[in-house]
Amino acid sequence: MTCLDRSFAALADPVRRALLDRLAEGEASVQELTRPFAISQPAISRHLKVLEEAGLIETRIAGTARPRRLKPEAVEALWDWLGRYRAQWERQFEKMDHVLDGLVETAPPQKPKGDEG
Amino acid sequence: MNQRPILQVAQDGETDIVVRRDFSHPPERVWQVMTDPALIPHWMASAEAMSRCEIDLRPGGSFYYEWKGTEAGAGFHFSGPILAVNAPHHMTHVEFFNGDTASGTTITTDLEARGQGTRMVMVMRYASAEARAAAIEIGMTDGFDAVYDRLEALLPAA
Repeated sequence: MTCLDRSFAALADPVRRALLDRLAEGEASVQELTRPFAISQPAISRHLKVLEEAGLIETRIAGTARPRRLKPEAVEALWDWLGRYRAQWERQFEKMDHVLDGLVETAPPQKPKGDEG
Repeated sequence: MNQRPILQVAQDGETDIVVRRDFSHPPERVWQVMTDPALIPHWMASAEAMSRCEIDLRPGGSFYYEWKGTEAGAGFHFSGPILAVNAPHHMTHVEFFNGDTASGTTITTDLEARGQGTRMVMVMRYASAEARAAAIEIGMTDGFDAVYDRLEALLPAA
């Protein structure tokens, strides 16, 4: 499973997306993260583990506290959840590049007139 | 240095997707490739070849792009009115999927010269946030298909 696959799997769950939304506002303890949900703290901990394994969040060690926070790269990863959609566009634009290159081969562009040293 | 041109795809507001892409050819050529019905089938993304490609490129004109059905899937078409044309820099058109005029996507395309090349900015405005989400989901599914196709190509022949 690639890192991107893990991120996608991690994002597939609404609870985990909500946890990320909360962490986007700043780091939080497991207790704070559990509060808005009608599910147990161990269940939240399991979701957090999935997010951590996907590389989206990390645990900071502060004395006895273990607050979770978004990994800086995760912001980019979240931004890029459009990645596969984007890949489709990239393939299409690469084909356009090839057509453009082909046009140049068959009809070289006019050299701009004047202003050439 | 990464030689691949920059491509940005972002959601904007509730209903928009903005796509930015640089090309190494001037706007006149990018415009030609984008709007010439003889050239469009060479790049427009789909596993299958287009079976019909017509474009009447003028304000008040229209376009019709069709893919015939195959064993692998049903045919489909995109069509709609062309609202604004300012060659080779700007075009606005509306896309209806399979003739469904109830929920069109309004697409504005701008080409701006940048050095020897072109920066394209395309804004796709969907009828609703749900329509946008569905479009992304379809695009993502196609992405998966392409990944599987590539994997299949790598497999040794039985």
